[in-house]
Amino acid sequence: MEHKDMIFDMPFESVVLDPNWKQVAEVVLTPELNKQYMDALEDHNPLYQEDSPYGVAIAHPGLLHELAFEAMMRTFPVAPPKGQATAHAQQDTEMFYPVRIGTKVKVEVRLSEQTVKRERNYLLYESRIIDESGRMVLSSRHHRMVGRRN
Amino acid sequence: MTVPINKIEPGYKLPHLQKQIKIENIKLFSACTGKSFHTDPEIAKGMGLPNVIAQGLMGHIYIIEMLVRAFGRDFLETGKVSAKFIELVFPGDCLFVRGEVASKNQESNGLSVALNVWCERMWGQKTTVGTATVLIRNAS
Repeated sequence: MEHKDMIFDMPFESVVLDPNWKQVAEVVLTPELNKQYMDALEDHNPLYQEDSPYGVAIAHPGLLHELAFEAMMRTFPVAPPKGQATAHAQQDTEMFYPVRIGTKVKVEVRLSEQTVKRERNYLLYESRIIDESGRMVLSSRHHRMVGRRN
Repeated sequence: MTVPINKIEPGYKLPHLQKQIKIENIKLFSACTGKSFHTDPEIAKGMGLPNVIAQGLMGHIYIIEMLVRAFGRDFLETGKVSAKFIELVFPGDCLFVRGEVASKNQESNGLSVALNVWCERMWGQKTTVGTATVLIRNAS
């Protein structure tokens, strides 16, 4: 799958927090996508393959996390001040249900907190992945450091 | 689940994983970002880095892999992980992914287990540190 380069061009000062979830992507979980993450992580657990104990292949957690990560970063491409760094500082994940390969998931995101700690700017991105039956299968909180306070 | 239920006591160490960090794996994992300091060595060098760096999220997922191997479906359906990324990880690094039971508590719907989890380099320098919980539902 071809992916456009991510352009981070939203100044930290212009961030507007919004408690409402935005649905930003709908993705069919294909065997090829699942294999990409199994290969990248060298994790070929039978759970993620056709003969899994679930009776079907289920999505590798790496695939679900990267879907959420991409959705969060493309929706809120917050940039650090010029010449400064940005870094993923912390990740919190809750897993609720496995998702079958071949089904479609929706990805919802929001930007929920903007703080300054020890002179550094931080943002809290949140995401949740919803399966075809409307159940939340995975929720994550992505804490990101976005440069130093001006 | 591969961890015997009777071994789950504070201090019990989970079977660890060993992960050799390879540039092709970092690029494959980070393909969704397009060109970035995770996928393009020239961009990384322009930022003063010696090479591309692994996404912190890779360490988080390695921890999930260890926990899924240990607790199986119970982790996939009830697991929680919170992890901080404290050191950069480069191609060529060899990481050990480790976990240790911190506490357990019998609840009405199963055995709730809390763990300390981390990734470390061969000589013990931690790169990712965090905590995890799982509910083992058929435990009595």
